[in-house]
Amino acid sequence: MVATQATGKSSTPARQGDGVAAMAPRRPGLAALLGPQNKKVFPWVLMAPTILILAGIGIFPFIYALVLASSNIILSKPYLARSFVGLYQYQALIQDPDFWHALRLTIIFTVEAVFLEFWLGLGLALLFQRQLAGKAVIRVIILLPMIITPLVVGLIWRYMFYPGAGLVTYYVGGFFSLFGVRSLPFLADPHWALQTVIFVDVWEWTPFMFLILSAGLASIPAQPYEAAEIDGASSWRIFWTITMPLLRPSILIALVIRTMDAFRTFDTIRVMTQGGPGDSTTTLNVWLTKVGFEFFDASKAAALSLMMMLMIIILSFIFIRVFRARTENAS
Amino acid sequence: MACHKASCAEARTIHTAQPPVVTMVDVSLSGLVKRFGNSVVAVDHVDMKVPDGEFVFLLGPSGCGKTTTLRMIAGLEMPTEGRIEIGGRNVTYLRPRYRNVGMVFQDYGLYRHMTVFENIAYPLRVRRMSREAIAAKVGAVAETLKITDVISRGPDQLSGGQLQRVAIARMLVRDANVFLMDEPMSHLDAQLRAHMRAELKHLQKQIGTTTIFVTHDQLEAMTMADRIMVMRKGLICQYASPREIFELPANQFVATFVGEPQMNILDCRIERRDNAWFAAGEGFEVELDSCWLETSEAARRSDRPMRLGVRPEHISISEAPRDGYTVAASMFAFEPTGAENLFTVKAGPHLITVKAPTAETQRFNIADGARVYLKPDPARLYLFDADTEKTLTQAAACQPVQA
Amino acid sequence: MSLEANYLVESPTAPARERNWWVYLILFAVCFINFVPYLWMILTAFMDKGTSVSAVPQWIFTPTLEAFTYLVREKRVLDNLLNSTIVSVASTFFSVLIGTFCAYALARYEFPGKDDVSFWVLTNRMMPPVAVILPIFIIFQTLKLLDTRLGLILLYTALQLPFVVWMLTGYFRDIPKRFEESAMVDGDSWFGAFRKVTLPLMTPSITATAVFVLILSWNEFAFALYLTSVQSKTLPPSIMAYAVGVNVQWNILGAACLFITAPIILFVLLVQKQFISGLSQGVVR
Repeated sequence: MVATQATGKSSTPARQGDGVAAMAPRRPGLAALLGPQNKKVFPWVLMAPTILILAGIGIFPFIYALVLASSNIILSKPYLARSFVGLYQYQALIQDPDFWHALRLTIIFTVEAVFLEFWLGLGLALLFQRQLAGKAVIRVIILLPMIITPLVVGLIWRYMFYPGAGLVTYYVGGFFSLFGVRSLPFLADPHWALQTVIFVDVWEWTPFMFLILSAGLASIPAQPYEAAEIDGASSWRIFWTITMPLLRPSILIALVIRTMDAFRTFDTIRVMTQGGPGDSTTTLNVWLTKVGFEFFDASKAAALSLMMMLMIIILSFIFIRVFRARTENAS
Repeated sequence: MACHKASCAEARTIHTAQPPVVTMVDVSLSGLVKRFGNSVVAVDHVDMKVPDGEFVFLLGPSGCGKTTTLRMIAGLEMPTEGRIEIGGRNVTYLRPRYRNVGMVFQDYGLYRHMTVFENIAYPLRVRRMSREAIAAKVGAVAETLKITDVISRGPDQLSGGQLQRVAIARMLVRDANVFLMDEPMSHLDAQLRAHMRAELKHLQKQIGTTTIFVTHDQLEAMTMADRIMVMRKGLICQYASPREIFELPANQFVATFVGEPQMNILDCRIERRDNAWFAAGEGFEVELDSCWLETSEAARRSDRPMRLGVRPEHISISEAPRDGYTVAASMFAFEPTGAENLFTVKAGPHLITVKAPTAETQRFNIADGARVYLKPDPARLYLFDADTEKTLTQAAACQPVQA
Repeated sequence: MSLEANYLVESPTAPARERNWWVYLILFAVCFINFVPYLWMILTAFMDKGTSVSAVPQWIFTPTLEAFTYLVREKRVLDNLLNSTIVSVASTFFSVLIGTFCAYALARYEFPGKDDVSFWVLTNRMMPPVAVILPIFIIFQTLKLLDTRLGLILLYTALQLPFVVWMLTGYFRDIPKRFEESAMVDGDSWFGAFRKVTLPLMTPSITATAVFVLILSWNEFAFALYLTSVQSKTLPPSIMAYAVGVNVQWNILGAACLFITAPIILFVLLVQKQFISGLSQGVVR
């Protein structure tokens, strides 16, 4: 308070009600209204460009999707009467077994991938706490999968898993055939495809977890650790009672962002399997593309998008609430 | 290292039982050295013995190695050379949790995500004590340190003083053999610091545990310690009782570091005229009693550059030239501090600080340049070698130290 | 007595050295798994057509630049490279600039609706791109932004804003207010204090976020695919031409992948020190 009153450069004393301003006003009241002194309005001034841009790009598609979802437009069948159907699309979705199938796959994919990425990333981050030689080089190599375009990642692994000729199928299949086991089909087999796709996602995004978590680890001060050592705690106990609780903010960021993205994974799956074989890797986003761009059922696609968005929002909201409650104790 | 493995296996069982009451816990450091990299020697061959139950202070400016020494006793740093023993037990390379020491950090090192109760209870939970026993012990310690009313708050809701008490409580709660404290009062305001000095001293005597305290504040050390170890650049300057440090400093550094305001140091040379010894410098001359001068061969060499030391409180000041007030000076600055007045006067190129009771000096003319006359107490003079800064001799050498 | 026996533990005669050989083993395995697939792609890019489609992986072969020359001459891949560079750099610049101010507001000020605004910003990232493509397509068509670099820049800026705001809010909260306050008490205006004190403190986290955003923009595929065709096509969509179909020419595909990934990897190599130190300045509290 004192600080803001001391800088009276662009404030109008009468308006602000503080007779302390030392300098005479040089600009009219607009600057005072929107300037740094007005603590109620100024934050909004700072946020305005962001809000405008996001609203511009975000609101129209949102409304458009809402409108679409409440009618029954199939783009390849323009002769169908375009009528208002209320919540019919959503109802149809819930009754559509393909929807539940895609949802099930998406949940399996998201949970498994994020779980693996988290623990692997955490393990790597903890290892990186030690004194090691060549950390800079090793770190870049660890980060490599994350930097490569997801599309390219999909292509590389499609190539690696190519039936017969791919690097992985050739060597791993050859290895297993020594034991008389038929070579693993990976992407070609409905049972294996989903796990393979999850593997690729873990390969690609574990570095992200590693990055966020090791940054978080680095920012924990040394003294609680030292105090705990002196208090007699074992390394295991220190990890669970000191490290993890203090790491919660980073864990939250990493989990929320990664879960959101895993839920919406598209590039890699599309490129590797196009949702196949059959529909064994058709997650929600992949199915959405099919509905929208192959069946041209725009309304259904819009409804599906909105439902997906709703699911992600609820999920993130829960995450944040749960973590915020516990993080308050940590800060 | 078979020894290491065996000790780990045995040491793991330490926490399942209450530690036995160890009666004689003294701390002993022999030839302790800590080097960082190839060039920095933080601790340079430190030898120290702390008898059981004593309150010992490591005192020195920042960078002198006192904190590093403390951390080596705690086990947070491993010595490059040397040996550390606690209660007769060789702990030199043991990890902190096997040493049974307690520690208070400069920033308290509290667990931010736990309440005060959980912070204090942590060492006990590690030792798997029962809930009732933990609650009882924590309650008792909280009572002693008067933090019972904040016991369920989190660290971010406490004031600096309360945080410090919680850190001390956590140290006290587990009957450690040795207490280590790393500048715990540096974040407290002056009044609270004065209060905590008395409290900590009382607490230490009451509990009777050997305690080692690190500080750069000489007042803390002087008021609380049983013994002080003054350190500088990794070396020990002197290890003695506060009294001795104050009255018989081993070198110029110790003499000027301890005592507020700082001892006056004046460059001088020894002269002998008419059977009397004088310490003569630019703008002043002080007669020295030959009795103590003769205790040191080196002191009597007149070709040697030396320094005369005398504390501000041991100089008498007068406005008129009187018998014995041989040093003439002119007023330079004046600081009233309540009970005493601090005069800074200029004699030749030297600035001399004099501390005199207000009652006697309140009517002095304090105009810049006003003439005054000084008489240093002849029984309280020190001679330092200008090159090595060692104390060559002091007036006290000729008189018994007042008990 | 067993109690005393516990306390007769002797210390080892030398400090226990951290035995890290197993750590190096694990890290080596991780690096191997991370690098080899990419390495294989690079190698494939230098193969001639015949080698690249052979059923048996060939590690030793005579390298050739035929895939690269094809891309550069026939497919104007360098144009795509230019487009990618311009669009990514510009959109990163704008999104970080705008997002910084928004994050500052969210981190520093208390006002009603703060948490809601913060969450709303984040939700903009939750919409599946596929759903949004059609409306955006229509908007762009109306505004004549289709197949323009400007259109892509605007879109990417909007896409990356939520991420920028989300990351930077956390970092800004960590900077103690007293730095700015003391500068302001010294007589500086808010802008002066911001420029001289706050901004330098925020630079590491802003740099780290910018690197992140650059990577994301560079790799963006879905929107670029539908909103560009000839003029402003960036690198990721251009790959699609070689990736689909039965007779995929792996060496051309590999070369195209190299074009996409090499610049961004080199960039990260260059800035990795600032990147990492910026991230470690303190994550969300």
